Amino acid sequence: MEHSEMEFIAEKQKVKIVPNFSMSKIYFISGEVGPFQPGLPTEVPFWLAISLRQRQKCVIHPPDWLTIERLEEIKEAETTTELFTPLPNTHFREMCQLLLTHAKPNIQNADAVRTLVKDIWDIRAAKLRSSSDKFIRVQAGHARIDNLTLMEINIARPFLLASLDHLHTLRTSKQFTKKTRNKEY
Amino acid sequence: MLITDPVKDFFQKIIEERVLVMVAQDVDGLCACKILQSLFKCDHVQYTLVPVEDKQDLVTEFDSHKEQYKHMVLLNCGGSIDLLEILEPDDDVMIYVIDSRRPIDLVNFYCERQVYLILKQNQEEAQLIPDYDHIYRNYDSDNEDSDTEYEQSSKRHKFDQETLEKKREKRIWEEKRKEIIFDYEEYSYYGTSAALILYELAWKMSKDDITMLWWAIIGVTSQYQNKKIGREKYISSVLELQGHLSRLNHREEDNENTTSIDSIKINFEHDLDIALYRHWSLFESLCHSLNTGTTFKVWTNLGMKRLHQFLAEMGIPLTQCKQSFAFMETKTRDNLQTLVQESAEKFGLRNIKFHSFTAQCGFNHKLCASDVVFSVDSILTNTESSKPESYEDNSNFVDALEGLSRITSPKLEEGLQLAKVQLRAIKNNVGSFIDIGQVLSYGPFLYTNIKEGSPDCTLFAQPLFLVTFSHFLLHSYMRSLGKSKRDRARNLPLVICSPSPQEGSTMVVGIPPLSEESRKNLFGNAFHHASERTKSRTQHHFFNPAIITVVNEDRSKFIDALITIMS
Repeated sequence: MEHSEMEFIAEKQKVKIVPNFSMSKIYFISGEVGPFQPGLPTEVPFWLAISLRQRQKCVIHPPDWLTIERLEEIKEAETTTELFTPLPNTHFREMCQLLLTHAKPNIQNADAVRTLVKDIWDIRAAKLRSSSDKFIRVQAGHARIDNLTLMEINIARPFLLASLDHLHTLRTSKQFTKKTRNKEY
Repeated sequence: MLITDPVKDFFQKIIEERVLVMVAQDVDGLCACKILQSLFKCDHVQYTLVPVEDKQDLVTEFDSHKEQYKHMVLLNCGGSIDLLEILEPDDDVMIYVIDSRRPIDLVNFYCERQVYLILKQNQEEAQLIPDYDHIYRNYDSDNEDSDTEYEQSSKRHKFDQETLEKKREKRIWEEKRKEIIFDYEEYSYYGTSAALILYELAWKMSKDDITMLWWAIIGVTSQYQNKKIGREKYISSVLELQGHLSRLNHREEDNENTTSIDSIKINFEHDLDIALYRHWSLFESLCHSLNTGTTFKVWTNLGMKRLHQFLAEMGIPLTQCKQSFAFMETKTRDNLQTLVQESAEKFGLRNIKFHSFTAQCGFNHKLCASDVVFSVDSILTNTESSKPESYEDNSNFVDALEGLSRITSPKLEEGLQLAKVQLRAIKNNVGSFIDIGQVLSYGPFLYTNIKEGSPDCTLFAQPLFLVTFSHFLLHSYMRSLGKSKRDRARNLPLVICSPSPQEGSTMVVGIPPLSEESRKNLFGNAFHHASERTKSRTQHHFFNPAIITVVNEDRSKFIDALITIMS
């Protein structure tokens, strides 16, 4: 899957906004949204929130886990354990990216938040890289990793699949040469 | 007609339509255009942007677009001309005018339907316009009177007391009307900046943000810098802008943490009135600014010595002054404002500091509002563009818009370099003019003629550049006179003639005298009268009525007529 496709899927999540206009309920295929009253917080899908924000029609409330304290806790947990810790949201990276691009004035300490999110991402990527490296070297048959987000799986997928394919071809060809050698002798 | 509620009567009306936006080519108009564009972007309004240079342009563009568009917005053009007569719009065409030029044409103000004016939302400016009853009168009743008068006189041959009274009253009213209109249209001047009016509109709709405020700041600063408004008006506009700035900053700093480093931060400062000093060496900036250059008389040797003395007095070594500003010692750079202010009094520099704004985005060095004005002005009057002739004539306009789009735009850097070239040209020419003594006193005004074939003649063909040059020249000329003559000459305006880009004609520009604080210019009317009297072939195409083109043969009799009119 492409990164843009994953961003698209991430935009389906609900987020809280405060509109500055009023409108009655809107009926979409996937559900209904509204009614909008200026000043009253409403839950809308993320894609609608971004579109309204770009037209200066609302203020996006960032989700609770996008604060410095919570992110620092997550970062601590990631550095201490070897395994992956559960993240507050399955679409962690995409949400952060979209929020920081479009709703920067609505986030406190946007620079520090961006650095922390990047740190968490780097730690997890390093862990994933080292574990997939070990997996291939040991030539294990199967492995299990918990608490990976969709984005990370997607980034690991091409490399992992391609290398395992290569290993498979090498393994089968070695068996083949073994069989033929046995036959010859 | 004056719109009282711009949100409802102007913006809501054009939101659903396709709009034609015509923009005059000055910095204020461009800033207003930028603000309008971002408002349109929020609401997905389809629009077409057309730059216009003068009245002829306005008519041609209007004619070529009038079938497709029923709603037009005019930015910084068309307020002071009779739109209904000049454009002849169809009945269903709506024209919205946001113009900083005054006086507003009375037809535009009093017509009921097609032309809508958007002015600042206080009653001051609307009160200057004469009352409806003083100008327009119901002529139907008068016609009836004249009919009955005819009947009476043919039947009875007796002059009724009543009809005589009515005739006399009508005559008195007409004389008074002429007087009122003459007083009203005597001076041409500038009102509130168009960019500021549009920013207030955005604020009323809660769609304002810091980028729009920056554009409004640039619009207001350009009015002050090009000497279109006096210091008082500038300060009142600046105080308003400062109010908006503190409101926006407060809104974003509600959480006690600071905003991200990537967003624009605007500061309100008491800044030095020295041109481009952050982008040039201090020495060069002091030589080329209007204020310091003319006070020190840098075209004379004695003046240069005084300038060196000034620098020595401030304690800045000469080598540092001639280095680029960014490479000066940090201590000197930070203290520069205090140093200059302390030494300014001793050397007779007045008004060296003025209230202004600076913007910073990311870690770039600061850009102050007057720098941006210089840069965009020079992009608009750029004659040495590297593009081939086959390109559209609007490339300057597009480049200037691009320069305004963000603070870190590379076009602004290019514009700054162009501005330096232009300032150098101004300084050199002013020096040579005063040395040769080309500024002559013709009685009621001062007069200068720029000969054809001078080295910077392409620059002099641009009206914007010519106006800046004439201000510089007038200030320098004042300084070069002796004390007694100076007091008399302070009240003299300046008229400048320069070869126009059209073959065989001259461009004539008039600017008000130094003592005129409100910058009211009476040359618009004066040029009209002089041209009528001598039947010279003149063209009053520019939006600024104090700039006209006259055919070369008629020039001398035109100037003679001007002298007689003004004395």
